[in-house]
Amino acid sequence: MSLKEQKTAELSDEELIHRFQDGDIYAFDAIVNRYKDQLLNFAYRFLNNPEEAEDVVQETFLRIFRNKHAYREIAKFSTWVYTIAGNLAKTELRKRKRRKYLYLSDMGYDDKEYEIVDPSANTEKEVESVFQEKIIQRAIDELPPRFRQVILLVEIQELPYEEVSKIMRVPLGTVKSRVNRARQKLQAKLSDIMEREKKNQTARS
Amino acid sequence: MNLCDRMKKNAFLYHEKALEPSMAARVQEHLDQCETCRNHFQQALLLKKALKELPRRRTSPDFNAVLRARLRTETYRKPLFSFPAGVGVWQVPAYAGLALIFVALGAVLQRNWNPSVMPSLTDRSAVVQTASQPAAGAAPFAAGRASIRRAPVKNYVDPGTVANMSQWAQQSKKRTQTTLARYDEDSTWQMSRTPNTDRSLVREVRQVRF
Repeated sequence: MSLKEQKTAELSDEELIHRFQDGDIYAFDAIVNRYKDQLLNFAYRFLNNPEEAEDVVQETFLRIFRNKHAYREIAKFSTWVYTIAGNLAKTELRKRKRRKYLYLSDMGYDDKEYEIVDPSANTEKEVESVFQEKIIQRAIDELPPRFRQVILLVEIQELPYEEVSKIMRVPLGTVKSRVNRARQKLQAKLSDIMEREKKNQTARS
Repeated sequence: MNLCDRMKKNAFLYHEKALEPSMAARVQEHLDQCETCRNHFQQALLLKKALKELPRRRTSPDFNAVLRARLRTETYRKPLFSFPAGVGVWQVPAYAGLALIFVALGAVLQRNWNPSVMPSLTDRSAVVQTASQPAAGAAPFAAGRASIRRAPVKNYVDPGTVANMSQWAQQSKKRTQTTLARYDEDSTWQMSRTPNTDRSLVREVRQVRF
């Protein structure tokens, strides 16, 4: 019986990948639909570029498709997926550094991606949240990749420490201390950015 | 590092209740007295909340279609060689080593293979029989050792096989000579102005000889 007829929501990730390993292509579709947005969020926060983030997610699924038999049930499927996505995102970041790529969004404060789309929403609150997101994203961008990865996995993807330790291939204790340091760094960077913003505002006025 | 800096390092752990009770009590005691640290701890809490509330992004509407198209080209563009499913990169040297051992074994066997020196079944049974009977007067423990030891196998050439082989060699030689003679008598060679200069064919035929 193909997955097309079955409710995929009831199946676990591991059951889905097993079915895909046995040749059921609909299981792969289910995996894609289950993980694409999660992975995009992770990649987007990591790279701060929607096109690159989507490329990374596409490439992650291609790798899963190509190397479906490389997955063994010694780890959770999500661990495997996030390991692939994390490695690809880091590679993309390295490539970007080599290219010395300079994004327009980094140069100015006007960013179309953060424009308000919902007219029914409370405008003032929306502007505040957009501004907040922008500032937090800038602070995340300033973190070194290993701190960035750990904070995204723990705080945004809300993965347990044990899984993050497997994804990053570091001991559990290291993950905990790294998360703590990453948060402290992020808080310090946010304070810096807020200070800079305040100075800019006073200079403009 | 002053007390405030040390306390600030514990802000997130304090909110997560991951501090040891004694340390948590010290932090609480400090927070009751220090307003700066209280603000810092409050900021930490707000940051955690803000990270959780960051807007979630969604993939573009054509994401699945693009992925499918890429997969289609992927399946058409298969590599010339790929390892069997489930073979990891670390297994490659192991497979290569195994292949080398087989090749070496094959080479050694081919070099030493001579069916004429292989003992027949009757010879083998004879050897086993002689080996299993200990010599009279030998030490008791030597009996076991003698049964393990094997008498050296002499080269054994069956006269019938030799006769067959020499007969076959003669026939083969005769066949080769006939073929060469036929090529020498070939009309095209005789008609050409430079007769028999291209002897590569003849050389080739000669190499085939037994």
